[in-house]
Amino acid sequence: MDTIQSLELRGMSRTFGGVGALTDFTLEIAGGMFVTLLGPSGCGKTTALNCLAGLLSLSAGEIVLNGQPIQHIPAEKRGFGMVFQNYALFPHLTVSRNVGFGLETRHIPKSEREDRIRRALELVHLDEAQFGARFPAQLSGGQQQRLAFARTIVLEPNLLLLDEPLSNLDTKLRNEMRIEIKRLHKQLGLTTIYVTHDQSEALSLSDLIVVMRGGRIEQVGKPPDIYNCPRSLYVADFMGYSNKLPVTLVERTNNGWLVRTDAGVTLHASSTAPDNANWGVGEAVLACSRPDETLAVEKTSDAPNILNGIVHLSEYVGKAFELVVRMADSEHQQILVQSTTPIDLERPVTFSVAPDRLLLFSIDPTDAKLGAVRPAGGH
Amino acid sequence: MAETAIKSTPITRSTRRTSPIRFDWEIIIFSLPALLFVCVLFVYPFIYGVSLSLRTGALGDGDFTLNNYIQIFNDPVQIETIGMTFEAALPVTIFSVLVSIPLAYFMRRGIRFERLITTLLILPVTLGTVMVSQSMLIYFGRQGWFNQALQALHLIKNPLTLVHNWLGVEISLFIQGFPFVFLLILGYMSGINPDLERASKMLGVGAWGTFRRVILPLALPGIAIAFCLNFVANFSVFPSAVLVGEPNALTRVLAVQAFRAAYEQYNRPAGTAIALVMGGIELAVVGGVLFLRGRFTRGATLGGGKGT
Repeated sequence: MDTIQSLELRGMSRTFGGVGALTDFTLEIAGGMFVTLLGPSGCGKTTALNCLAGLLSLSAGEIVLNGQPIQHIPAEKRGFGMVFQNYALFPHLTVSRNVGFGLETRHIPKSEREDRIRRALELVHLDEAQFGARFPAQLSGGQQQRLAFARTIVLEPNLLLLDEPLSNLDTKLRNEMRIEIKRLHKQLGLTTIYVTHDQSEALSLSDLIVVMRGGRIEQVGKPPDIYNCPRSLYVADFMGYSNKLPVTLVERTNNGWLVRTDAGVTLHASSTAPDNANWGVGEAVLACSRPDETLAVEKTSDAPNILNGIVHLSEYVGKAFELVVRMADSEHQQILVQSTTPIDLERPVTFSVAPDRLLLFSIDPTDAKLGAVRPAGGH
Repeated sequence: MAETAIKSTPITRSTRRTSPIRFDWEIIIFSLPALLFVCVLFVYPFIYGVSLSLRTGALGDGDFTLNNYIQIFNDPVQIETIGMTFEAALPVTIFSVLVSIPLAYFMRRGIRFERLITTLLILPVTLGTVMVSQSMLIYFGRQGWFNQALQALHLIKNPLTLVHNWLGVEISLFIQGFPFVFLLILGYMSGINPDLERASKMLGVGAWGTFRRVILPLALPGIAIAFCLNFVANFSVFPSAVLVGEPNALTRVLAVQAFRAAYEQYNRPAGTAIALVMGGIELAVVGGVLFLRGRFTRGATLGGGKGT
């Protein structure tokens, strides 16, 4: 099977009963890359993966592998491997025969088959002598996960598709398996497409992140770009910019905007949203920040963007305290602030956000959850 | 329920566990009606039947003896009857199962008009054997619509004999038993996780290979159960054998013989013995099939873990 030089997805679309589950998915992937499709459930990421795998036919568009369109080739002939969210191990076959399942139809001599099964299990750190004769139901969740990987990589697929493979594992195991996936990717150099709704998985694993929304691509970029420069409120929300302060634009500055909160505090902010070029003075937007970049400071601090509030709740998150702060002049506006020292409840707190970490976005009228912030903070 | 008991009353639970026999009076009291029902309707008649079959005399009031059984196995006619019963029951059972497997496979993800098809299948079951047999006599008879239609189409010259013979019994049993077999197997097949098929595809195995190596082995327990239930029903066939069969010749099945012994020759112990032999054979076949099922499906019956 050819290794991947390039994989181009051109306008890949899929509808279910007239409803678009995937619309105009266009992406170019170089060989050896680790690409993550990121988004909440229902955003079309699994549909995209299934279309790529051949388990779903395309309504429109092309899949071009090394210059050859392959969208008409059935799943079993594409030579792609897939690890399913629920692992989909064959319950009636032993561990060894699960791994050998794909080899058996390929008329590979028995000795070579056994050798490859052993090596694949070794690769995922499952000892064949110990586990080979067991059935999947006799394995732990993590071992089942490893087996699912072994069963796929034993065929040396030219593209590895992973559908939320870690979502059924507990936190410790998830972190362990995440490192395993990274190791396998490095060791085998397999071009990998990974579907997840977990932003930390996406950030730590990927060369390229594709954030999806409503069946469309919302933003494509390297992890730091997505993390630091989200281009829309949707992506920002997904990347943990959970503080959303309604503000009014006052003036465009050299590297951003001067804005005023409802309580009359003037702040320096910047924007990574492409539509900020069309904004005008007086427009209402949301100023967003991440809790870990919204930091409690001394009352006398000369940091920029000083805000005041009352500590409502305090949570120890390890290494720091995360405070739920009520804004001084608008009680309904809550902001998450991190503090290295504990602060008593109902005590005043001063905090600040660096101007380049306070990002402005248009209020998103299509997102009910985000839109609801505005009236609550307006009082 | 057991779990909440452990959580809420850990102490009483652990002290209870130390005593070798635990009486859960609630369970015993609540299951009493069911137990009574089973005793009255099954256990007592069964024991009564067994003891009746072990007595001499036409009324079953004589001494205990094994004579009734010895007579059955020494009588070439009765041995032949056992063979005939197999000939009536086995082919139609195997046929029903073999037809059901591919049909269930194609309908496992649901198809159009599924409800209509299911209703049509269930209908003959609700009508009862006598009604179906009566209809068959009219429809499949020498002057029936079926033969007339075939003759009108010049497909046959002389009318086919489709009732009052072995074939009539097979057709009748098929109409009655097939829906059960099909729906049982369909239930099993549609219960197989569709991701397993997709996984098989992604491992480069085509539709036929997936059917043979994933679907069939996983449906095997259900297929075995369907076979057993249908076989037992067919083996104890009585109305069809009489109404659309040839009860004096080729469809002289065990149930017919038991009826004759008990109600035509008025030898109830002999009739009961035949019925019990029939039950014994059924039990042996079911036991054999379930044994084979166990041999072939060791892994699948271990049950699903987290990921399966």
